[in-house]
Amino acid sequence: MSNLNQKIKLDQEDSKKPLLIAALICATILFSVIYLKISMIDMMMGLPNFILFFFQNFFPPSLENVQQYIPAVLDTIGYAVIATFLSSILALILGILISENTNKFKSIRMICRALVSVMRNIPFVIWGALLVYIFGLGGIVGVLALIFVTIGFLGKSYAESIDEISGEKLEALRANGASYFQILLHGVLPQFVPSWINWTLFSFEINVRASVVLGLVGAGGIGVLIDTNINLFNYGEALGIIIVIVSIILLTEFVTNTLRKKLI
Amino acid sequence: MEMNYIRVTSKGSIWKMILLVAALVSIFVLAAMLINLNLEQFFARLENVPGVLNSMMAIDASIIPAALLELVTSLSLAFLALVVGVFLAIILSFLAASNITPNNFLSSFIKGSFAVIRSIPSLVWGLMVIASLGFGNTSGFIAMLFSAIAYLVKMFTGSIEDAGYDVIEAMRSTGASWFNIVYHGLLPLCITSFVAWITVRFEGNISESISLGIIGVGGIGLLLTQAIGTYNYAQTTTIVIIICSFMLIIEFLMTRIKSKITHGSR
Amino acid sequence: MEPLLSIKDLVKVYGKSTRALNGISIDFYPGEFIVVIGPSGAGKSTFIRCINRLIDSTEGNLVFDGDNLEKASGSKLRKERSKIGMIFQHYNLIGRTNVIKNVLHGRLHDTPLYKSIFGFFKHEDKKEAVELLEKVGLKDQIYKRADELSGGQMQRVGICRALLQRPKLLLADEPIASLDPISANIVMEQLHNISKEKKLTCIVNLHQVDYAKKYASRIVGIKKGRVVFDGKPAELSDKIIRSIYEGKESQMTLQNDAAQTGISTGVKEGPALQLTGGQKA
Ligand SMILES: Nc1ncnc2c1ncn2[C@@H]1O[C@H](COP(=O)(O)OP(=O)(O)O)[C@@H](O)[C@H]1O
Ligand SMILES: [Mg+2]
Repeated sequence: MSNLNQKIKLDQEDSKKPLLIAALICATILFSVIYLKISMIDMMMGLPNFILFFFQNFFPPSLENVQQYIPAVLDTIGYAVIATFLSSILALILGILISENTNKFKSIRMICRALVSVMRNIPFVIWGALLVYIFGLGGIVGVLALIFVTIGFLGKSYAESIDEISGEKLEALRANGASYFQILLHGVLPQFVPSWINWTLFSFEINVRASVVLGLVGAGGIGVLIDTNINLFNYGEALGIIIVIVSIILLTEFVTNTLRKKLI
Repeated sequence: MEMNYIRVTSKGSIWKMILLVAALVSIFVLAAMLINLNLEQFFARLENVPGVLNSMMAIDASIIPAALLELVTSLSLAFLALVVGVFLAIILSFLAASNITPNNFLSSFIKGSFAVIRSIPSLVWGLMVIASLGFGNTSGFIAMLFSAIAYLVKMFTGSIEDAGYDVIEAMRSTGASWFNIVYHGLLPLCITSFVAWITVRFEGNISESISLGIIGVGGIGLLLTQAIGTYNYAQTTTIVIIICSFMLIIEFLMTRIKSKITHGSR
Repeated sequence: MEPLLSIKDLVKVYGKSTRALNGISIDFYPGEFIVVIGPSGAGKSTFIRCINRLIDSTEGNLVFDGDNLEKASGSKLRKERSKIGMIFQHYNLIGRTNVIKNVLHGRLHDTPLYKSIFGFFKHEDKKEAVELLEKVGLKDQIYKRADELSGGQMQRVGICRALLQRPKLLLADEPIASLDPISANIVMEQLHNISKEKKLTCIVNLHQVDYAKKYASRIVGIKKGRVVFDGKPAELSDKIIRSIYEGKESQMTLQNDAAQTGISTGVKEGPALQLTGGQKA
């Protein structure tokens, strides 16, 4: 009888857990707001204020000097291309050294994995800042910073893709009497090519974006022009450059997507 | 002889291969000529490396408390931008996903504008926001909000569109409203992949909030920039180690969460 | 007659305590078509992989063609392996590589790396590869990517790859377990015919007793890592079969049924079989 009055549960699981998570998130939000000393009003009005400012000051964009930016644009793309090429080769070697499929020495695997991890986990601009420290301002620093981070990203992704290649197939080549490098070239590489293309194109997109930012740490490219123009209150000019950047990045995405469809 | 020759690849594929390699090589050479790197200077500076590394082999423990406090600032910023970003992105994604959008024009508009917003790096957003709101945490929050929402909208829309039309049709046939379909049908279906994307974005947000320090938003990035600016090698090393270990911990945690939810859903 | 392969006290322990092979001693003679049967987990795959050292045995002696196998390593091991062909349950072809290159992988052991990269194989190797493919009825598929083939076709490519090694011994680990009954018949038939024709010694793992009885010249029963039967197909009585599969009878009946339906469909589908038979001529 009492069953009738009981509430029928819609979920089998303990309903306390989601509540707990929600409470935890709320508490963290509260903590963050207090810790950062952001006033709620600032936070809520921040976005509208910015948008208002944006349309009042940045608009209209000035595109008169676009031609002047062409060298910087080309530099930006050039950095990304060079970095992608070099890091895709270096990362392939690291990926092969990290994957259990292609390297049976555990100690070497661990060392390479740690190396790649460190490269990946230090944010890109910080690599840039550190390298400027050593090499001084200039394009080399930009390319190096891009290479470091891209190796970190690609090394891990490549290794995961190589891990996914079935060891059974490589076993067949071993049974054929093939040497280590033959197994690598005839067994691993052909199976790896689609992921290779995919990850590398993806890293190119990331590199173009990052290469734009490079200027901000003094490493060449178009980014520094934005900073300069904003500091001079040339907001329209800055927006013009940003529009150029947006076009480069959208174009890059279009190109990589087309290549992806064509090649895989 | 000619007649007997047995080819190992089908006709033309070798030429394709050669063409591809030639194209790749020429792109590389072209790019190298374009950026015109000063290799001499590079090798000359390479001699500084041991020296700099040597002076960096030091740790300044006195900076650790301040660094940790600033790290919490960076983390809080990332978290706050993530929460607000997720909230807004969920709403926008359901309006933009082609299978459930209330209006096709609205869908294209959202997708298009966020493609543009996404292609502006967060540091560039940072510059613009600082120009309008001044330095400070609020600026960092707003700057990160843009890239977080833009990223999440793209990923969430993809997940929703992957769910297809089946569930929507089934629920529509019961007379469910748009909100009902979204809340009772699609949201439970997509929530696991949403959480997976959120963990990815959280990592990205933290990395961005640290980077924003470079252009003057608060957080551990600013501390690092100051240490570098004053040539304080020991502090620089210490802060970099803190950042790196923190990122490693976050990466480990996010991977754990991701694998837990994907296994749970199976 | 001298045995081609002589195995003494072969033991394989996985980890700490999984004794997959429990002391196997057996001799194989040239020209035999040996089928190894046993329930799954009996150690058949482990046994066959120990022979060409894809798995290193824990204890025991392997003498193949007058050479001590268990001590070989590096290029000597690769040379010995090249004299032993192997066929796999999942074919293990390199999917994105075309059929003829997959077959030519059988000659990697005596092709230098720089030549194999550019596909410069010896003319006679290429010629033999084409002939082998012709023999198994795949002449038209030479330049197709291996992952575009059906299971039965892939396994026939696998056979060609192993044969191109010009091996003295052919190992096959459940070559037909993943195939539909008709393809399974074709593959077994071709494997049997070709090894007869080339006077090859074959060791084939199967779990279908019917196929074993049909093709084997000698049957070896393995149970819990031990040889429990070794003799002519005619000597393999139902009682012995039952004792080999003891405790795993469900597996035996299931597989028996599968094999029987396989063979009966094969008979029913006589014309289809003939068609492929005609192709290979
Ligand atoms: N790589 C391995 N690691 C640990 N145990 C294994 C491994 N391969 C096989 N075994 C164990 O060894 C025994 C024999 O396996 P296997 O040779 O595959 O038998 P079969 O091929 O007859 O089915 C089984 O108990 C199996 O669990
Ligand atoms: Mg087996």
